Amino acid sequence: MTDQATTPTPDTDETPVAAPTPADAPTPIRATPGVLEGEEPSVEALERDWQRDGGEVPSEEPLADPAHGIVEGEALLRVSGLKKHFPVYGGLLRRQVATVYAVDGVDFEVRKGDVFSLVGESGCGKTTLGRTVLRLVEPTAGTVHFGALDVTRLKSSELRRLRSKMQIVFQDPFGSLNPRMPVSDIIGEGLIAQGLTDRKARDRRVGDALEAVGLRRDYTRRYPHEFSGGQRQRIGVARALALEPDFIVLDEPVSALDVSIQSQVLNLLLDLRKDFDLTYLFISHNLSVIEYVSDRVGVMYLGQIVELASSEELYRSPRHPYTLALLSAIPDPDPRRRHKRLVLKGDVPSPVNPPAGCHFHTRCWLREQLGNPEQCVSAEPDLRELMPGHKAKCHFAEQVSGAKAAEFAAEHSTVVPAVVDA
Amino acid sequence: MTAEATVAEISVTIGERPAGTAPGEDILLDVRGLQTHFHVMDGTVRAVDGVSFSVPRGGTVGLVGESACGKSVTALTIMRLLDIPPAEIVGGEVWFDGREILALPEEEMRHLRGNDIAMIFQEPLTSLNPVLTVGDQISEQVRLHLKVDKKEGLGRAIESLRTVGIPNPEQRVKQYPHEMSGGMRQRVMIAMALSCEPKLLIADEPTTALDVTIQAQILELLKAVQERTKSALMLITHDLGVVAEMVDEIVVMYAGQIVEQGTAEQVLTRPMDPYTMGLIESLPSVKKRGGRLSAIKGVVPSPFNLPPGCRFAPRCPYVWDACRTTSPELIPVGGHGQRARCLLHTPAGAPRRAAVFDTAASSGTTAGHGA
Amino acid sequence: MAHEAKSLSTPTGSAPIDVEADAIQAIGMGIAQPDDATALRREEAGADYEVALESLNQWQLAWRKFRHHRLALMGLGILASFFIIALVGPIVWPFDFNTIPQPDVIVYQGRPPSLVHPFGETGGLQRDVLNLVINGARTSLFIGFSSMALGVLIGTIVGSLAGFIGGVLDNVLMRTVDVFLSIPLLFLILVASRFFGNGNVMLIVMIFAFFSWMGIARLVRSLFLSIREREFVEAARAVGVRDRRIIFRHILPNAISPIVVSASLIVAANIISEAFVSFLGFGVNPIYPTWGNILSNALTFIPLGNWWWPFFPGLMIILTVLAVNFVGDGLRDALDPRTRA
Repeated sequence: MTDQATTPTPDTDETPVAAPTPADAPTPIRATPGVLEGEEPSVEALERDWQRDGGEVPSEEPLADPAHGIVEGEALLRVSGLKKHFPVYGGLLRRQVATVYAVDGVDFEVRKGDVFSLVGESGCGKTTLGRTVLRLVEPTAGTVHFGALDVTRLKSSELRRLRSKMQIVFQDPFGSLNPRMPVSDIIGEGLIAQGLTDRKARDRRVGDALEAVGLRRDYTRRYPHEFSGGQRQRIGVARALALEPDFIVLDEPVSALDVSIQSQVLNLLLDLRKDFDLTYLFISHNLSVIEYVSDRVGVMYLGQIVELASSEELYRSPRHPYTLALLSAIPDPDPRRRHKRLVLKGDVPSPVNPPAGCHFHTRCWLREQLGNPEQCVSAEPDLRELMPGHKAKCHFAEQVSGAKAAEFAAEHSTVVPAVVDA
Repeated sequence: MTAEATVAEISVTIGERPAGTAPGEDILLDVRGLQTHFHVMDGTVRAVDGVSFSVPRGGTVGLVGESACGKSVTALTIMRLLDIPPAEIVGGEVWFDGREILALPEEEMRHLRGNDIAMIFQEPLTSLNPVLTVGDQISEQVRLHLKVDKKEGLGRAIESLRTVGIPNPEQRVKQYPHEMSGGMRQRVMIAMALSCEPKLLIADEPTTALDVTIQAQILELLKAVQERTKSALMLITHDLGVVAEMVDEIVVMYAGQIVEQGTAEQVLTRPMDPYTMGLIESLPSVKKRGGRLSAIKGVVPSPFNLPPGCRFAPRCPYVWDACRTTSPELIPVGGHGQRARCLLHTPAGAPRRAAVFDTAASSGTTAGHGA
Repeated sequence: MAHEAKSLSTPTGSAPIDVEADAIQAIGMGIAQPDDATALRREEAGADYEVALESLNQWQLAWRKFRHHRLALMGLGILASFFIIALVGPIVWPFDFNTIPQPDVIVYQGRPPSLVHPFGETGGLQRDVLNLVINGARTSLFIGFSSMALGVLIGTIVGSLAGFIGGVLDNVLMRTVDVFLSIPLLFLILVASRFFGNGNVMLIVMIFAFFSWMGIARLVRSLFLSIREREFVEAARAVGVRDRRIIFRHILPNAISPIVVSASLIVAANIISEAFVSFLGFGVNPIYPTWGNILSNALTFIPLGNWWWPFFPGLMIILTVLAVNFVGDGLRDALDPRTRA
């Protein structure tokens, strides 16, 4: 390996390191594609660590870096035909009585260096989609290509090693950190699992990760409850970052945080993307946040992407009636711009029993305006390309416009029924 | 003497009255110098520390702040719904409809709650009884407060469900809370709160748990029923967008104190307190794309270890020495009823003031999102 | 590529981060032309603020809360002193259990408490009641606590397996629990101690353990099912942590508190059961004193007004069970992670 200075010594903590690493000679972890390397541990050290850590066997065969050679702008992640259906069991015999179509046929690409966002309301499947891409949830059908590698076909040992390349940051800064573990273990256990068994090298990496997210190195002995919400979320980011991934799924990373802390964490995430050449899949329900961070956006409704475009395009000229309603629903913090908004009626239908034809037809204002054309109920629209890079899943996408929406909003009462009869 | 007289005059015009006297007829709720503390093992938390504001009849006031700033405790103190101990109302007065309600016997207070003041909570599921149908719950409340018979109570329940946009209310009254979606339950809560035609409706983060399109439904609904029933609205939220759409006056809280108050337009377009300025500036918007957001640095101070001077001083970009030792008062700014708690607006801050607010003016402090 | 990708270990100081534009656009908020991205980030994070509350780990926090629970503290005191008495009492107390003061004299009546015999003397062999109670404490406490420990061990293993692996194994194990729970327990204990116990203390411990693991197993299984779904477990999976470490480092530590609380209740139940079984003569060999045995022997002397003989061992049982329950109560509050105060 490249750094001889840090060849491990028998690693009791008291033993001084023979040749300490100079502070300015960092371990170039990306020097070789493949295994996450630190120091080459001795057999004894491995044994000891293995026993201490409950049987973590460091991987031996290197995993070829799937992201190797992909330059900015090329697709790093390709998702096609991805489905995740959850069975619903019921009755006395625990038979499957229904299916939740959480993710129901999704295709998209994330280009290297981009922030690709998924936006939608609760139950639209965006969170399941994020988990399925990482195979934290097993897909029902479809493929996820990470570089040249089909994630859906990996064996579990290969998958475990791929974890260092694909990471996730969770929504809940309280729930996602084990309350019984100090920060050093929370961040460090991923490194152990990836084979970085040398204690000192690991501690250094943990410290570096903490510093990269704006926390102090000496926080490692503290427990999660000693931090504020924003700081905990930074620890969650550090946990992902410590593995030096290429790709991170950010699942509502700022939704649980206070307004002033949200902006801190958003700044951090965008800085880190630059610093470490990261690619993000950003999942959120907050349209203002999405608009600020994203390069491309996919709008989800009932397990499907209904509109896909660059961020500018999507916010300037949305082409799906649902997107328009979402945008109109954002409360504007400028009281001088109070506007008559387009309020959708009813709730999101259950993903157990999505409406026939276009899933959105039960709540669609455009359909109502067009006099309820039969097509919306009888045929499911395709996700059509309307112009290069802009797709929408609507039969009448060409007719969607802000003017029509305003016209509709002006004509209708803003107190809308809570349910729509199917 | 003359100086004192001026101060007194100013405080009258901005709604503060001497202790023990009722406010004018036009003021429905007048909170004065309210202090609520919590006694816990680590010490005493001054959750609400000298909060004064008023809600005019039929008016709308938004209480804005981040978590643990004391906004919800303020509401619970007004409703007298806190557990005492660990809570203790240390000082202050709450005048509602010409009566001081902190001193009312519990029996009268119970009558007041639900009848004259109603409250909506963030999570409707926890405030609805899971073993009673929604119809039973609304009609029970109606019968209790309006002294009508069972049939009329149910009729009113159906009627109020209809007004909040629940179709087939005759069927829906027979449903249990768990059979409804989150948005529906919140509608039921609103129906219940409004069934007795309260004079004041307190809504504590009514849409925080809801999706964007459902939030839009509920906000429009609240606006519509508030306009129709002419009840006053006190909206508690962390979402500047929501207050901007819903209320006329805004009270901004930080670490148990009010740091700024004024009309919605004043506070959101010309904020005078560095904290409010920071909050508004930190909202992500398309205009800020590519650059960093101007985040408020640091974290909210621990309630056990509040900074000795201004509580915002450790996070404030304009801080100077005086801020770390002197606690600023909430003082009038600009002469149109807006008030802010910042030393910049005292004579001592005069030399710095221009630098801070001229930049703000030239960069066009506009909030939010340009959709 | 516009810039070099950094490795984590590279000092981040040289990062060309474009903050100026924004700092100007912002109304001067906070970002005073930083030349160092790390410093800026750290300033935003509030990293240099003192964390105001003292740093305590979970056990320190629990102890702090426990201390404020007066009854629990009293219970802990009682239990601790009983343990000390049971351990050193027989050495210190002048009367030896194995020697009978006057083997050839059998009296009809015992003697009431006196200065020399504060708990009085028994009828028959005229033994010192305090001496009996102390020696009985040894056996009774030993049986109560060690049968609990064994039961908790069995229950935790069964519950963990059922909860973590699930599927068929879960079904088999949980139906076994159901079967065990449907057996009339007391009857079975009586039969088992008659046929297998032979008055042997270790066997009694095993029998009690054998019948006190089902509650723990159910509890642990449900804890596993719920903790397994918590986000931090998913996060551990996402960084590649293996099942074994997930069980031992993530799930079990977070399941400890409820296990400890219900274990305390098992202790109380087993001490009472021991007394009961021994009282009926099915428990520990009557030549060894346990609190139950003493009661049993005292039975025939109660009509003679020898109240001190059953009274003191009975009192010990009540005190111990109360103390254990108080401690359990205190633990329940102290280990509740939702409260800090």
